[in-house]
Amino acid sequence: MDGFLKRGMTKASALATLLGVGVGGALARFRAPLFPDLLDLSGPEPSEAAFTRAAGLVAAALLVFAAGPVVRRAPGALLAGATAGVATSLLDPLDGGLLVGVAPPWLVACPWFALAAIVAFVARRQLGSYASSRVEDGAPATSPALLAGVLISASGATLGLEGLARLALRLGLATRGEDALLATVLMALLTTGGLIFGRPALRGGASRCAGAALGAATLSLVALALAAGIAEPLGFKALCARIHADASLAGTPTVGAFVALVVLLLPALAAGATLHLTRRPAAMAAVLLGAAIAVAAAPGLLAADPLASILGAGPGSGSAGLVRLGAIIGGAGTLLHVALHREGPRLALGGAGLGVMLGAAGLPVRPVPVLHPWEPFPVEPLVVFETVDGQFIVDPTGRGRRRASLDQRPLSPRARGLAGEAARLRASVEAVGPAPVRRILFVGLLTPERAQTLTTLGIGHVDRTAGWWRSMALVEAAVGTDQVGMPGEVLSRKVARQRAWAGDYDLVLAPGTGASGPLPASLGLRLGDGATPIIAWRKADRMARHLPWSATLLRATDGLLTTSMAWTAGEVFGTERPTEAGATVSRWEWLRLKPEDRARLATAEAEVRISRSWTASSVDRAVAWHALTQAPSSPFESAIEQVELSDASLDLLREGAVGSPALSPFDRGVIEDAARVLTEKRLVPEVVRFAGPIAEAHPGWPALERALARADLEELNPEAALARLEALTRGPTGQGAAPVAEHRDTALLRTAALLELDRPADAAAALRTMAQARPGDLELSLRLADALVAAGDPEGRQLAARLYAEHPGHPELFGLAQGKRGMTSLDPDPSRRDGR
Amino acid sequence: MGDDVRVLAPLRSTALLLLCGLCAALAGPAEPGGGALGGLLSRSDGGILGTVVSHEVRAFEAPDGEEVFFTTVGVEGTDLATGAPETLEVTFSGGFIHATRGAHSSTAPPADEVRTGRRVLMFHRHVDHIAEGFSGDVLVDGREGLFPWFSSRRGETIVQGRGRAITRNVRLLQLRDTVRRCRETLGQGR
Repeated sequence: MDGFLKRGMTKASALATLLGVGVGGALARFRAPLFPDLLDLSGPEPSEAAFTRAAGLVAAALLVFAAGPVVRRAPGALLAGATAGVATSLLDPLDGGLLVGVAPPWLVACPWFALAAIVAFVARRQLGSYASSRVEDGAPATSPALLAGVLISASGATLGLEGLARLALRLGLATRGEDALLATVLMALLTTGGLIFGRPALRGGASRCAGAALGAATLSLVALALAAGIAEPLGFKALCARIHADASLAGTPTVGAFVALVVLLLPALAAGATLHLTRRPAAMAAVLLGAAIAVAAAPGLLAADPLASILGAGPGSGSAGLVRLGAIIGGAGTLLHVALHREGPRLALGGAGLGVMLGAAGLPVRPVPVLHPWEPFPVEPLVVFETVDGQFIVDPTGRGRRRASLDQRPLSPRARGLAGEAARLRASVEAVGPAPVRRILFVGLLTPERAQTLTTLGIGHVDRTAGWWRSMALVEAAVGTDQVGMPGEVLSRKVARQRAWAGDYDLVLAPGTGASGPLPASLGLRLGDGATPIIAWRKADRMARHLPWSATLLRATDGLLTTSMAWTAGEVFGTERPTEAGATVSRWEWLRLKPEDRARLATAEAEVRISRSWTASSVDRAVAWHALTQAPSSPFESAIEQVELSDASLDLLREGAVGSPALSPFDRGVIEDAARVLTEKRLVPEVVRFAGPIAEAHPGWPALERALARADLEELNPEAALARLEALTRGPTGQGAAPVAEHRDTALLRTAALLELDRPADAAAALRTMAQARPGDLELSLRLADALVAAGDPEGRQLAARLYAEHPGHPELFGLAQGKRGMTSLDPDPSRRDGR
Repeated sequence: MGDDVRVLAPLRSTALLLLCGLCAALAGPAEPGGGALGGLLSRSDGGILGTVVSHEVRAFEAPDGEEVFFTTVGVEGTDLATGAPETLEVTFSGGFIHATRGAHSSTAPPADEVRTGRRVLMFHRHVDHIAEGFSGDVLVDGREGLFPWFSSRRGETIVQGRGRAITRNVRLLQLRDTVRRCRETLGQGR
């Protein structure tokens, strides 16, 4: 008899493990969007994502119920198997922190569901006899209807875990890799909790199960306090120090897993005990169904925040509110269980449930803002708010501009990325044939800078959409888009899709920043009948080697010798690219890299792939070489300082440019980038060596002439600089031709040259008209004030005083307002203060 | 933010600063940052103008048990004030021994500016105790004490101004003259 039982237990454990692997593997992969297309570039809608996950949990509940006795005999093995199944998703291929399945998610999840279904069927057939031959532990059999209390308690516990997981993801930089990592940690904790706290309790049963679920929901409140402490930058640093890491390692598996462990530890252990104590398939199915209901309801509850409305507690408390609501629902579930059952410790359980409900309802809960874990210099956010779509932060980014991020993922670029983005938008419009582009569908955030660039490109109507479209109006107001007055609407993706299908747009454009969802393969890129051109940008620093590249590829540079590529569909004029197959990188391998190392690896791989294609030019090869020579940089260095320039790539670029009479816009952009980086790094002989021959081969190239003029100024030769700049302003056709409109940078350089030549009045005159035409351009106004002060014109001090009032703390303006030029600090000698 | 090198407190008296200010005023309009240059000189033993020929990162144990990292670059060139040939090792905080062992420093000069072959002017000062069992010359004022230079097409050596001490580009001969005069004034002050 013992041998019979032992064999049965072994078989049950094996089947339970396999069932768990199937269920865990499927749940990790069954995620929205199940049928991705271009509009999913910005991530799935929260409700869609929640319903998909809930559907997965319902399927898991059905499978567990169908499997029958195996759940009862080896719950620990089932949980361990599920952990292993979820963990396998860490090995899936990905695209730079953001998961990409070349196959759609529903297809990827299918084999795992099939495995679970087969195992459930076998278990039912094989272990049915064991079930009937044993007297089960725990409570007597109850009808599924009587499990309502367990179901609701489990909902509460899940809601608490959901709220905590949202916070933990933000702390871990919220990449899709982190998502899988967090799920793995959660499952490991559930298993551990079951083995430690569920196993020693000899008697399972619904009452204990409801009690444990209540415990999980209650412990979520304790974990919330922990998460709030970690969310503070100093708290996060202290946490990292505990594992001998630092905040710059946020986004790596070690830190991400540790954050998840600390935040989820207490409630997850209790939830694991809950699962272990269910013992009966119906009870475990009830727990899973409760979890499904909570997951599905979470977005709605977060948006409505019913408790805040009832208590009149003002604005919603976001994810933290979800945790509190979970505790209250857990308490309510316990009370319901007590009401439905006559046996068990009813008084204690009922008292505990009521106590938790009242305590949680009276608990003051505020939103927990999760700021960027590490910045070289502290940045005070302008706006932080949380909606159902996630947590939005709006930061200042140079010269009064604003940058938005969603759950730590940028929705718009920093100030230094604006030039690159403008180049991408320009390249997009230029690539869409000769027909004018007037109406576009923009997949992402329309910032004032984007709106201005699009306006200058002749676009008069911009409809916007994204996975977070419900919050878009709020975010646009926070970044100031509403002040630009660009015609167009914020659309739900459904409406946007309908309009795109109806051919309402000349172009569907995704800017590449803020993409957080899977990039659809060719199967999903097309919208409508294919007549509408589609351009989806993707920075080269996001892994792309395993993606099917579109037949026509667009490229643009961002000003710092890094590039972006655009996947295209429809009639778009770009470069033909061979689809060279690349090896896939495992998600685990990828996750082990620091985020900046991922970017460098991805860039190098993409550029090398392009440089090996048969259409590659020497410029392509130079860009690839440049990408390969980049090294990790100090975060205290400026963007320019972080760029490594190699002689080999510069030589390749120069030779390619000199030998080619007609350069493509991309090639010209790369060469201008190189000249700019050399100039900003102030490598004067290198500027002359690089830009000189190219400027000779392509006369009248403004960017190169300006670089050479700057080199002249660096060499203390303002006469040469002035001559070069005046020739540039006269235009390439020489004397007699109408002068070309002077570029802002040319005017600034000419002013500098005139000041060096001790002609301040001429310098001021050279800049006055342009500065007056652009009152918001601080650099122009500042240089004008400087020239006027140098000329002894009292207007200079007045202008400086006015500008200083607008920009308090600006040392040079402070000095100019008092008639003193060249002040670099308001501190008389900072080195004395810090003891250097 | 970073791990700053603690150097010995320099001799600073009000009289000395006044003399530095006077020195700066004497430097004329080509040295708008002369006052700050005087301050920098007062905190340093001198400047070396040359080319980076070596680069080494070393780790030391701090009193709290943590590791601290220092980068030492060898510079081969001439003394800024006298023009005499000189080879010197200059140390600053931060650096990486390999990809995962090291620390960034907010005061360290950009890595690209101190790699082998770069042309630098470094203001340095001898420190007896940089770390346990480690003494030598340190870069004064971190990245504020380093200036690039180049040879122009007209054959002039030009030191590139930035920051507070040398705000604008200046010919080496002119800078050397200013530094000499400033040194003389500082010597009298001491």
